[in-house]
Amino acid sequence: MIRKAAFVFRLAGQDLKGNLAVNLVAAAIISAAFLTVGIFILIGVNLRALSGHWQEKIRVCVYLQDDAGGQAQKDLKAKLEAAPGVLSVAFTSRDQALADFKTMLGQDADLLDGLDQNPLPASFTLSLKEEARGYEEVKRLAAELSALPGVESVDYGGTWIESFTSAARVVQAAVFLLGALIVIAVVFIISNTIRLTMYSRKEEIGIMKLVGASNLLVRLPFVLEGMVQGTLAAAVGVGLLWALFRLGLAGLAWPGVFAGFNPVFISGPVLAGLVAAGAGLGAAGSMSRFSDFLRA
Amino acid sequence: MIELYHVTKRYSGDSPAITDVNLKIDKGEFVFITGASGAGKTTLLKLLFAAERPTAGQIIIDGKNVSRIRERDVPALRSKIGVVFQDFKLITHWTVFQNVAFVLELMGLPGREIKRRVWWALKTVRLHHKLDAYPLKLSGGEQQRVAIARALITNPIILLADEPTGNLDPEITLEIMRLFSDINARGATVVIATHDRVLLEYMNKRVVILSQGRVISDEHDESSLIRAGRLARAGVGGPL
Repeated sequence: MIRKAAFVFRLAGQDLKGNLAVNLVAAAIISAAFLTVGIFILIGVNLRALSGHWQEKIRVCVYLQDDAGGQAQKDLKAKLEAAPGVLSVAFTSRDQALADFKTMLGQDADLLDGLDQNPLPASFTLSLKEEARGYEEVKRLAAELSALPGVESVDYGGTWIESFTSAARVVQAAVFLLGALIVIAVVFIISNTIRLTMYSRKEEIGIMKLVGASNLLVRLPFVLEGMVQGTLAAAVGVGLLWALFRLGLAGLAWPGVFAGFNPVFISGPVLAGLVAAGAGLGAAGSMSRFSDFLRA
Repeated sequence: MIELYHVTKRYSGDSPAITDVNLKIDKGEFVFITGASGAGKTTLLKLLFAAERPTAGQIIIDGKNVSRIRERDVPALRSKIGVVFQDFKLITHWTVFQNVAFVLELMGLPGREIKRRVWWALKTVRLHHKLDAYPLKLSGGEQQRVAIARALITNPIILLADEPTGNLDPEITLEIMRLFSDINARGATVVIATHDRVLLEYMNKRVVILSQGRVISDEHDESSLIRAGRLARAGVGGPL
């Protein structure tokens, strides 16, 4: 039994070596297929990361009525801190708001010199817990906070969050749909590539059968070869994806709204899953339709 | 050893390749099957090593009915039968050693035993110095001798050969025939399909003549003149 198993392994190795050119072409096609799938997963993963990155920046600004005194502010702060989903509360006084505004205007700050009184209200800036950063949650919180005594208005960049959230949903759905189509195409390509490899070896399979090999013994080395081929090809595809990621995305200085975003690579378990899928597809491809070749 | 009773083989849609063939070949016999192209020689051999199943009739090999043999029992049948083909059927990216050793590997023999027997088989066909060569580097005659070494390495009780000398020159043909005679002398039943009239006349063995799938003559011993006439009528030619 052990001797036969060793023979099957030896045969698989012998055949991988003997049909090197055909196997390399097949592996290259499978690698390209996995690279394509990887690119789609990478896009999906980074859209999600970008969405998280932007949501992290979401702040709710609660502007105070000008006549709200020190005690009213303290009471309001306590209520805000107790509100569900609020992570922290930072106070900006009217003077601080004006100073910040001047800093923001930079060289144009002298425009404000003509003002005889500070027009800016004091405010509380709330940062939110992760689970409270969704559009619906922020909208609900803003409505609740607006009703509190001493609150002039609440700003949360509502329209922007709404547009981004719905755009991100559409893009993610499109990526998912395209990704699914590509996976189907890849399975088809891989199974046909392996079928072509086997077709090129139809005669060899026939000879093995003619000299007395059982179907199982003819099949096993092919399945092993398919697994090795699929695993290596998927690993190469993933490796290429990583190289492209390092060269193209990772070191890039992101402009505008993307500033501060660090692109992420596909997580370890998903990568391992891809390589395992390579092994599985290789084995399955070698097994499927094998019966066509076994009549001799 | 080999018995055929009313065997017919019809490929789908075509007229029968073999029709109502009755044949008995005893243990240790040396038999030629001949006939013009399309007479059914190859089909008859294919039926014997279960590459095809008969449409009707019974085939008994070494006491076992193989007419309806199950796919999983075919390897066991083939381990008793050595087969040699006109186109050699060697795996070209395997060495001579690997091609010949394959059948012993299937049997799960230890490596040392495999080496010993492969060397013996290749020595028998005088190719023991070409163990590591690849088939395409060998001449046609040498490739056929490798195929014969592979067929005889399991000490088969039956050796079948389909036009084994069809691609070879006369000198090599005689050498190959000497090998088959040696194998026969060791006890194996040898059945060779050929349409080479000269070979049939030279070997002077039992000749079964097929015409349009039917046995039209089966003679163990007859004068060469009568045989020559019979062969000519059946359309069996050959380089005279």
